[in-house]
Amino acid sequence: MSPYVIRRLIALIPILIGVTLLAFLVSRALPGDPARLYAGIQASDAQVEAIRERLGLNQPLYQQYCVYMIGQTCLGESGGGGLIRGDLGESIRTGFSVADDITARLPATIEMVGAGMLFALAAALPLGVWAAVRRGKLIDRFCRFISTLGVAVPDFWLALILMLIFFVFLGWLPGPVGRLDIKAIPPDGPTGFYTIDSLIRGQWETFRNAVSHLILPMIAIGFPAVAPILRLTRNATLSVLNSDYIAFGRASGLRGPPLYLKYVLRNALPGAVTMTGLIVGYMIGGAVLVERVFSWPGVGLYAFASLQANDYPAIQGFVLLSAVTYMLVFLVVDLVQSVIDPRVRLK
Amino acid sequence: MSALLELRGLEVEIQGLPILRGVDIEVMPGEILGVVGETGAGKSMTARAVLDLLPAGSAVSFRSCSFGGQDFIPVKARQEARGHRIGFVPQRPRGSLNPVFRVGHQLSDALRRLRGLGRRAAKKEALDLLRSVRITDPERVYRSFPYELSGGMCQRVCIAVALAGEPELIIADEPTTGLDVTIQAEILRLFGDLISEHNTAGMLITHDLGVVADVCDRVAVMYAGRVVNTGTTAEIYREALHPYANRLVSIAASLDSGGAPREIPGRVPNPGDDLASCAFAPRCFRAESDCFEQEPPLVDAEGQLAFCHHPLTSEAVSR
Amino acid sequence: MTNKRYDGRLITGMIMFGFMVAVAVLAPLIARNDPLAIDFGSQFLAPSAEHWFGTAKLGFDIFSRVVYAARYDLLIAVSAVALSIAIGHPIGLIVGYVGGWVDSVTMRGLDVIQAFPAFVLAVGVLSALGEGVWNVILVVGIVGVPTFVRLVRSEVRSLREHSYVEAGRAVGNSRARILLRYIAPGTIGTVATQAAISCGWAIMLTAALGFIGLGVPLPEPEWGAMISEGVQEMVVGGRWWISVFPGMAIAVTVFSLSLIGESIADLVEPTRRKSR
Repeated sequence: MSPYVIRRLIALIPILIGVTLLAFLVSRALPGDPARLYAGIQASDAQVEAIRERLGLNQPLYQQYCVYMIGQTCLGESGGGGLIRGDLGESIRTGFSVADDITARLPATIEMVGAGMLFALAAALPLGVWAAVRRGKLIDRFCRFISTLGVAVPDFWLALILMLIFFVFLGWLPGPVGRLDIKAIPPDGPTGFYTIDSLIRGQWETFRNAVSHLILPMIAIGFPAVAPILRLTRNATLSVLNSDYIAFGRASGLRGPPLYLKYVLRNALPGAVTMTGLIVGYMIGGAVLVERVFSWPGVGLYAFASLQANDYPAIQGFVLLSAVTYMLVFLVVDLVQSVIDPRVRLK
Repeated sequence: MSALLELRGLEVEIQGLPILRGVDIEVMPGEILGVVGETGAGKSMTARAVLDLLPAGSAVSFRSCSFGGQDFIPVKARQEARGHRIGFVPQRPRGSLNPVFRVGHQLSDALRRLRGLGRRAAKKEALDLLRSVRITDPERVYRSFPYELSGGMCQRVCIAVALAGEPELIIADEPTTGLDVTIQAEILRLFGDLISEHNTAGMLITHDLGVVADVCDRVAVMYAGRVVNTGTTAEIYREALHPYANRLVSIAASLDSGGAPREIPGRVPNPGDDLASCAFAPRCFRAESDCFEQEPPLVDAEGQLAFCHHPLTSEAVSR
Repeated sequence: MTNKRYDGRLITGMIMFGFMVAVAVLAPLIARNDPLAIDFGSQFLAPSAEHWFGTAKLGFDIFSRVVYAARYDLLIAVSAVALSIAIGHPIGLIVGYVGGWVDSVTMRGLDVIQAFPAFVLAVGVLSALGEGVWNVILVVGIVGVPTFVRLVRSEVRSLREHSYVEAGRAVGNSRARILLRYIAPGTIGTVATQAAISCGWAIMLTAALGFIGLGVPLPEPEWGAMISEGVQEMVVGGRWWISVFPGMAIAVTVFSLSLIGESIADLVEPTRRKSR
């Protein structure tokens, strides 16, 4: 590993500890009885006491945090548990381990968010470059309007409007029944992404089905991301276009698509990549809303159902995992950044 | 012998302001022409007009323009010449190389684009080019990013890029701006040597007459959007016809001999200013009323051409 | 030439936002029904002269509810942003001016808070706190604090080096006085710009929380919760009006705020205009 990667990883550790500490404090130090929150509304007093005992809520706060982090080892006992072993507790609603519940639903969410991100990039990058090249012209104004509008339209509402148009009125795309038609059998594949798995297995009908279900969620979660990426790409492109190296490139015979697609876009890209990291954070939140609208059986729908059932351990698990995912995404973004812009490594 | 590049009556307006007011320039095959003048005289704009690289909002017109016998007035002809027939060496070399690509990649990319070479052939040719611009360890430079190289090294790379398309003319626009004085001399010598080695012609834009003396065969002195004096370097240095060129030379000479810096009184006119018939007249020590009232005639003497009512030689004959 | 266009955006934004504020303030005059009135006889009616935006379950008049909801959403957003500023501005001033370990500790703390996606953090805290208008304000406000701290901090750090601040120091002003009299006023412009942008963002967050049932408790009208009520009806019964109108209200409000925010940003920071 390069020194840069190691430095970045080390910088992550205190933040990671801070994140777990904050998540822990929110779960323990807030008003109300955490044992009751954890036990759920219908729990009997005896059950609440049992939970209190098991979570060690009658112990001092620092010891509770220790147990929360490394489980029974902290008390000098053998046995597992603790965040460090991936133990997020048990879901009241499903009765399973929260970590397992979330892992099982992760592919659905990643497929949707990934598709949304690709959609946003595919729309925003070329438009941003185009708007900058034709600065002040009609296309530039159109992009400006789109990016102001994109900030103003709630993603969950957009999801509903898309469904209203393409399912209720036009009937072109399937309704909110999840990732496949109800009768369809999910493809059995290595990735858990239905579109990719069905392709690997050569199941064209399933592939078509999965894609048709993916389109609307993809647009709903991707559209809010178009605005910031578009704006950033446009401004970055403008400054690249005015740079000495593009002037020299032109003077050396660079023009047309190779100039814009290879050189200009490549130089304007770092900003957009950073933005991508921020947007993943936004999309993790957005997934709760959009998955709810489309009954998309991912982590967001799980969080939503947990909220409805006051399933506190599941909610906390979701919150913590979101933060960790978000941080990892940022790490990846930084590393990608250092590849596409070598100067980053110097900082 | 007919000129390689010949342009007549080049006029450029940027956002309505006249920048060039009828520039005549010719570059002969194999020679290096120095284009000299103060900042704002229009030197760079002349070069940019030849390559159709003027900023947005510019209007260009020529009376005539030809390059190697080809009509160069159509925009397309000028655009297609970039890199292929006319190489370009930029100001600020460090900023002129793309920061996110390795130097070798940029150079071989230019070779593939301009000469249609394959990947491997381009790499081999790129290393040869780096060697030919006197880079001693081309392999290392090939793998470097621009920020890892010095300004002088970057300029050598830029020159290599300019040579990549085997051009008939190389235009260097203030190529030594921001470089150390010792490096400046090296780069200029390199430029001069490469022009003769590669059998091309050169056009060296500079505000430094000292630079011109070292490498250029002929000089064109520009003032306020016009060429006011041309001639061989030796003639211009001996006794320039135009009072402006004459003063520039004497200032450069006194600087060389360690004299105190002197200036020409007055200031360079800005684009859009009301100009006298001879734009230099308000600052000229020989100016008389006719300089303000009538367009200066073209005078031809001692191997020079100048636009002046009162050139610095008695034998000058008006044409 | 360009100036006029920017003023245009500002004026458009102001008019649109002013309209929404007027709707909120004058809700009792504008609404044609009691937003909480139940009428089983007129459930799920399509928009008509009687009910402009139609009716929802229990016969709620959607027009009246959209109008009254402006009160909740605007109140929550404005209060939350005020809270963010009340906490974030002083912290930003102090850590920016003092620097050193105070600064590093605070910034690491912000890193931790911002490691959570904002909406997810709000969900986590609010699910522990329980629903209610004040809790929503508290949570939306706290989630917005880091933005203001960072903004003010970086502004202070650049103002600190200005010559007029140096001069103030040279005449023997105390540190507190320098900070309040010389530096703090310089940060107001950017804070105001961010306030407009944050306000739109707070409305989005409030509505999103309402949409998943973590906001103003039903049956009180709130745009996000109203959209949520219509999901089932839209898909099954094609009753689009229940969700569409509250969403439009959100879009208009947030759009007006981002117009205002953007045009003020251009005015405050003229250099930004060059890059446009």
